[in-house]
Amino acid sequence: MFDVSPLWVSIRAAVFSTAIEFVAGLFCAHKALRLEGRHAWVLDTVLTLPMVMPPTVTGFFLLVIFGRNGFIGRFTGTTIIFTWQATVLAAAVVSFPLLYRSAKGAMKQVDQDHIWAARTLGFSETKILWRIIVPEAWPGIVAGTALAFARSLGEFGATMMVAGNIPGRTQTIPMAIYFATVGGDMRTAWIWVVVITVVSACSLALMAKFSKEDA
Amino acid sequence: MSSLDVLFKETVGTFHLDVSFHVERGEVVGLLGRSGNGKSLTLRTIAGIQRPTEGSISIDGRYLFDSSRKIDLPVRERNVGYLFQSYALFPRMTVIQNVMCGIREKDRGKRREKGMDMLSLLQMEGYASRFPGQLSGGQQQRVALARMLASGPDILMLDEPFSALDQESKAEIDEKLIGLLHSFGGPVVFVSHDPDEVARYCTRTLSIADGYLHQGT
Repeated sequence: MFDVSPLWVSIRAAVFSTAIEFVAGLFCAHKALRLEGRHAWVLDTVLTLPMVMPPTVTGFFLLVIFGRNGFIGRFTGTTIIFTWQATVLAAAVVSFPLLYRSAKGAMKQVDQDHIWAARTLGFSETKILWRIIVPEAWPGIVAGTALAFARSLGEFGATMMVAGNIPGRTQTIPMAIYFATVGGDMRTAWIWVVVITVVSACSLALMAKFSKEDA
Repeated sequence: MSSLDVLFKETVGTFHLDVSFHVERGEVVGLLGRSGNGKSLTLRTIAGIQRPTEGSISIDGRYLFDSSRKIDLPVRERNVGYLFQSYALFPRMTVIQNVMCGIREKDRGKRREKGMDMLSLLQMEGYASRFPGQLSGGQQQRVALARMLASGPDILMLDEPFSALDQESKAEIDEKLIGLLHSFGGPVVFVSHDPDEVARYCTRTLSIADGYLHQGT
């Protein structure tokens, strides 16, 4: 009997992490742009780091922070390590920079006069973000969201470190591929390779279509 | 006292701006000067987009900025109407949505109604559900005017309103705009590099050169 659970575990991780990143990414991109010139580079470096570091390093830091003996673990007396929430956490942190950077780039292109005009009309900064900046930067935000979703789906290294490989709970598709290959089960590995390639290609194709129609 | 009082000094890079003027209620004052002489900067400072080094700006005795008393109202609390040179219409909103943006009214239906009234005043009611990108330059200018007027500002400021228009559109909007500016009632500041334009629209002219303002007739 073929176990389809890695598909659901992966999709759950990708959907939840993309949702979290979407809100956090837009918020951070907006903040970073408003800080521009002063301490923006610090924020930018920290938020982009997960994109260039080996995912195992990101996973290591997550263990240090969220592990049973980590800062948060010690404080709350509980840990999300080796639960399905850990797959979400790992995917979210690793793919966050893709959304953040695309969103920031697109927001930077928004005509400053539009923002000033909105201010003269009495808009608050929050209203400006949601009514002016996000709609005008939408194609870039969609592109970043699709990239982040696809990256979340393929997350392996950090997920391995913090969520492990528990079938039915934390075993994602990349994990299933790795262990199937190592165990010589090439048929299972092939099936998952095809599935993840098709799903990733579809999300990128949808992105291309959406950002073109919107431009 | 119902007027605009402006007196400030400002330094941007190596450019120094030193202006002081007074606009009475109902007056349409033309700020005339070549580009790069500080006309737009003056408007941006009144609106709060730029901060002067020192001085004060007040409307009807309500201080928008006063360096000696550390008053510096944020742009959204200044209640100034600003017509940007590029019109700055929001491209993702329809014409009516753009106009409704400035109307401070809780009820959506009433906001819409007011917005439509303003559009009819500028003969643009037929374009309510279009997007700015689908309009000509002259039509965009009318929408921007409608949006500015609908927000109920205390003063109006127009930054080179005709620079983006061809001759035909200029002629088309001419009469309408003169009427609107003069019936507004509050102080109006009109920035232009064209003496003919200023003579046609304004009741008084101030010339600005190299950042200094000269009181003229």
